[in-house]
Amino acid sequence: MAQPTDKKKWKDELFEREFYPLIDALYNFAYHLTYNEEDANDLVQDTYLKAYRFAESYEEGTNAKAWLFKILKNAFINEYRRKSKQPAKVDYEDVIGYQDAEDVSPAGTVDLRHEIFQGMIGDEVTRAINSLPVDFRTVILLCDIERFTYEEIAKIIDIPIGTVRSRLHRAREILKVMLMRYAKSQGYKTDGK
Amino acid sequence: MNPNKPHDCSGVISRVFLSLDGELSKEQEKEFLDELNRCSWCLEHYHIEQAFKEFLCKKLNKKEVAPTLVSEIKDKIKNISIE
Repeated sequence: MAQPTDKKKWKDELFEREFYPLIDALYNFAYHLTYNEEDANDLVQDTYLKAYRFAESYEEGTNAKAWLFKILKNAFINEYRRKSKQPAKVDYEDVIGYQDAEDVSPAGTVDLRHEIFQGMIGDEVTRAINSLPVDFRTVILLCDIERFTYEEIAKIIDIPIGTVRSRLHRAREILKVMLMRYAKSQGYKTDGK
Repeated sequence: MNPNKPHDCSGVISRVFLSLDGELSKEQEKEFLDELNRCSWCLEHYHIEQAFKEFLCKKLNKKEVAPTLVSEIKDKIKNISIE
């Protein structure tokens, strides 16, 4: 092994201080993108190796989390998306059709405070999120789970802020319809419609 | 709060998620909450959406990274030499 250079020392310290503490959040995101522990491991490892190679382009003390999430998301799009084993997809058009046909007003009818939802286990909710199309799943994970701002999300996935907002809206509506389907299958009666 | 100002439900509803997602400035948030509290229908809508967001956070399985992966990555990076 070569003697540590100043540059290496700087990078190693940067990783210890700013990047390694974020590994759990990165892994969680990677797992929900790939649905697979092995792919998530590879994706996180790739992310750190790429971050190491391009560390000079990171401005110290700025948003390390958004910077690493962007690298991970790009690595996923470029290398993993095609090969990731996706579970049976919910037909997105089908969900929208369902919504139009029954005139479900999600906010008015899908009340997650109801015991049927509170009794749902994590696996069922995770399955619902995982069956969202990846673009919709990504914004939900970044906003609701990782608490990024719309501006950060826009930078991470390279879309305008307005698109972040509309995509989040759409993702939430689809998710509510899916949760409502689940609830109905468990005997939950909606008021009205 | 101005009781004479007409209340616009759709205007309030369109800002519910901006508020829950922390996207409103302090001033906008205050204005929003004043408007929200004037209408029980809007307030109920807000609570339902708030419950939805909390539900996702609470229920989604969190995956923790394996300690072996952490040490593997650290080892690889430690051994990268820089010219």
